[in-house]
Amino acid sequence: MYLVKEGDESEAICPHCKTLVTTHYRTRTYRLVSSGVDVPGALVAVCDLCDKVAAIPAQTTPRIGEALQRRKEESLEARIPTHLEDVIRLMANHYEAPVQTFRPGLLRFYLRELASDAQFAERVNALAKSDMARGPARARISLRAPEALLSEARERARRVGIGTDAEMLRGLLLAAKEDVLDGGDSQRTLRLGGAAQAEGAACPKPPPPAGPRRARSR
Amino acid sequence: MGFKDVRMLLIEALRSRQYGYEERADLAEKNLLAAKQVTPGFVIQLLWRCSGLEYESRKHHLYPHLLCHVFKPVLDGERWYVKAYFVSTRAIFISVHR
Repeated sequence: MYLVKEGDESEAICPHCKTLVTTHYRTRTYRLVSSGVDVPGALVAVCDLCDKVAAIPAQTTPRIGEALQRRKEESLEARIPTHLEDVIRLMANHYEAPVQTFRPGLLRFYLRELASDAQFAERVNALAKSDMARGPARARISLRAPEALLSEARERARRVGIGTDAEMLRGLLLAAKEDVLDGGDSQRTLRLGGAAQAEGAACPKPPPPAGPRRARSR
Repeated sequence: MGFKDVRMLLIEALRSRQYGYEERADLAEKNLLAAKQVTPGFVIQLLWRCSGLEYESRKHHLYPHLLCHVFKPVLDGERWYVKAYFVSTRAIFISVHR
């Protein structure tokens, strides 16, 4: 595969100077003008006359593709009570994963569960309207996810009566708490563990053995 | 250089990844090869599909000393537009779109 490197010289027709110019390859944030997407760290052929981008080598294509793909991903932003943000941290702790890398994976995992499981969606709705979902919304949650995933999850949420993204997230986090921290769904706990492991978490922990609950001593 | 020579040179450039793209404001929409919406293999397929009647050469719109090669093949019922030129032995694609 042919590769150019920073500093290499080439020739191109500069669309700004409107002539054949000598160029040098430089690393720049390249802007796709019509779509307003920035491609950071792109190797581009820069015109020696006007210092603007004149051409782009083939090897930069994956970066352009990634930047365009990122734009296609939608973002979800909502505010949630502090105790629900704590759920995320407790779950990251459970899987021995750094919270920053675990959080997006956790939320996308539960969005997928919501989008694909009508029964789970009913449960999320009930949890979103429970007393545990209430509280001053002080913590801000922000997530980028594929457009299709977000729209499917929102559509499912809307059908079961969840009105907002914040309500959806509250319900999802309470479901996650029940599934993992309270040991309510061992299958989902293991699947989430597998996903967390891919993000660098420790091996998924086996669910606690089910048995008769002991009476507390006091 | 005739149609078949130009086509072979472009195919060789695509195979060896020895090509680039001309900067344009609407690159994401008008150069689907640059935007990674189509693969080099797909463009090779388009070029093979093109007949001599669907090819023309014309002067570059900004720099008339240079000749551009325009291919307009039909694939799966869709007319494609591929425009490129050669500079410093490299192929530069200006357009790859429907």
